[in-house]
Amino acid sequence: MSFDRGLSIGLFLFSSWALYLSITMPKTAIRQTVGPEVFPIVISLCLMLVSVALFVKTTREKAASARRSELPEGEREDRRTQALALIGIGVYVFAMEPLGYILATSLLCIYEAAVFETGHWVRNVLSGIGFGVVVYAIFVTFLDVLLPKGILGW
Amino acid sequence: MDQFFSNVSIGFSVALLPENVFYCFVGAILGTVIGVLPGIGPITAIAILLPATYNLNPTTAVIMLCGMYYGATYGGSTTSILINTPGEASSAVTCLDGYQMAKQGRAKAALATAAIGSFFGGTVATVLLMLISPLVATLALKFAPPEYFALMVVALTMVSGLTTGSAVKGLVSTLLGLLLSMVGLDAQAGAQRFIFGMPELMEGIDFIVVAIGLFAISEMLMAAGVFKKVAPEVLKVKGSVWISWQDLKASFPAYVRSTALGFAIGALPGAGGTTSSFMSYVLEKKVSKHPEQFGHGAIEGVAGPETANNAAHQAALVPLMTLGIPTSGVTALLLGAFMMYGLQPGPLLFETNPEFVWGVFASMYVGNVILLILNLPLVNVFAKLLDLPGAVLYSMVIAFCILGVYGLRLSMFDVGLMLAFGIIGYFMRTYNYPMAPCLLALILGDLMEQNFRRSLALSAGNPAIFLTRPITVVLLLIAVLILFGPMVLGSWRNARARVAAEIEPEAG
Repeated sequence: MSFDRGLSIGLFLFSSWALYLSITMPKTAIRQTVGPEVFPIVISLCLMLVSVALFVKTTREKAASARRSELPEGEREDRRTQALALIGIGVYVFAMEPLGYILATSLLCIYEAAVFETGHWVRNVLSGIGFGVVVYAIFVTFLDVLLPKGILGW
Repeated sequence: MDQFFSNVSIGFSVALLPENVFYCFVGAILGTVIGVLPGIGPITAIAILLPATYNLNPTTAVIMLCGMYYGATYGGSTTSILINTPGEASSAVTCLDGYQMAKQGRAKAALATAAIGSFFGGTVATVLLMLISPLVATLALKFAPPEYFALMVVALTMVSGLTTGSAVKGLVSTLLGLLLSMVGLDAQAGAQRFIFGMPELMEGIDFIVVAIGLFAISEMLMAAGVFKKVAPEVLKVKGSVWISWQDLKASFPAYVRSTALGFAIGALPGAGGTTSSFMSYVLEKKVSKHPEQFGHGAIEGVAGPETANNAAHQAALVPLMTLGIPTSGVTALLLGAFMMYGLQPGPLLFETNPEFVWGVFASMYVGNVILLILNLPLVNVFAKLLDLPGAVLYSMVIAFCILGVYGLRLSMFDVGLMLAFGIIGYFMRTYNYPMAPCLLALILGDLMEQNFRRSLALSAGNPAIFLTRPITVVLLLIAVLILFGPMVLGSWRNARARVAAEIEPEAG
């Protein structure tokens, strides 16, 4: 099954669910001519129709979903690098507040740079630490944005 | 005309304040840098830096953001010419002749004509913007909620239909954006919608989270997938950049034609800089005495598109400022920024806050002059950015994206959402689902719903109100034509082709 066709089925189910949630939305005390459920109902119905149109379109065209890639013909994207880059951000989501901005961000920068290109450790470590410290200083000192201090305490 | 000069004078009195000139300069430099660096577009940069502008006054902040917006188009041509990779989408067509010129040793002429064309297009379009905007704003004062609702429907359908070849895919993106805009507390009745018991969703999904996820994180994922396999070769330029009299003479007609074309196309929803630069290229090739030189280093092939995309970006501010309707991803983000500063673009803004409107417009003259001065002698400095190690650059962009989102509400939940939108954006990019309509719909969704509900409240719930007011009917008809016109036309052409194919053997 092509991506577009799978998506059309997924969208139909999703819009049906959104429609159900809209219809069953709890009533509010404020009485209005048009309640808060009307617009979501209209949009959910439109999305249902569009998902049907997408299904019909993919059935008629029968072609597999066209993928866009910047790579030369026959080459495949590096899924491992993509997954590792994502995992880095995912871990950062949980680690930033306990570790603190400077430490977590420096580690993230070093890790992501290494994911993109192996080697160059000195360059990556220096740029990662530099980035974490400089950005922290700018945001906390000049822009009054509170960033977590974490285990370093500053 | 007196009114025009009075507006210009108000504008310059604001734009020339030292603080505003400084931030215009900062915006222009940042814009150029963003344009030069492949992988970071103006949407990403504006979204990331938006939280950093909280402490500025709104006029200064918008002057800076606009500087980044049009500055990116100047910078975008540098990478198109030197590494055959557009720094941003609207400079893509510049690769065709710009890179060929650079390979023939004419990089300086290509870079110079791109900078001068950008300056010409940007400056003349700003004059047109100042002339046309008050007229549109006066007209828009007659609009009531039904007209506004219909106008938003037209804007969204145009963006859905024109940004990619498939209107259905555009509509999917738009409708998902509209659904996202409804998450959180309903502003009118206080009802909780689609929050699934998560208090973090009570205030809704911030457009910056979606913008950075869809555009920046997905771009990083794309880059991660191809990074080790595609290494660009940068052509070097020595000395400062200038243009010969002969090249200027060859480029000038292209500047004039492309400014007019770019401005006309740029004001339309969904068309914008990229379409106008491609159309300008086609136009220049058509009117050229030597069309065979296009694709092999014709200077008009650089001058035209680079002028048109700047004029188009300026023109996109007409519907944004006068109607409050953004026509592209970047202008949608600017609308979001305006709202964040408590400003509601639209016809009333011209009356309630003239210093802001004319100040921002006048700053564009200042910005264009700054960009011309920066881009001609300093192009080598900007080109040096291309020597930055990609791995370090991408790692910092990722860290900046996270900071941009975290800085909004100091919430890691938002960062997680950004990551989810990054994955969605990756698939949208891969399978050609346009992302700009989703962002546009998310930002416009609330206004659209308010106008929809106010319209129905006016008619005591009768939807016929949308079919009884002339302007609304015309606008909705336009939307229907945009959606179904190409489909009907396609079926008609197919039917004609079938009939012709059936008749031919009989005749034979």
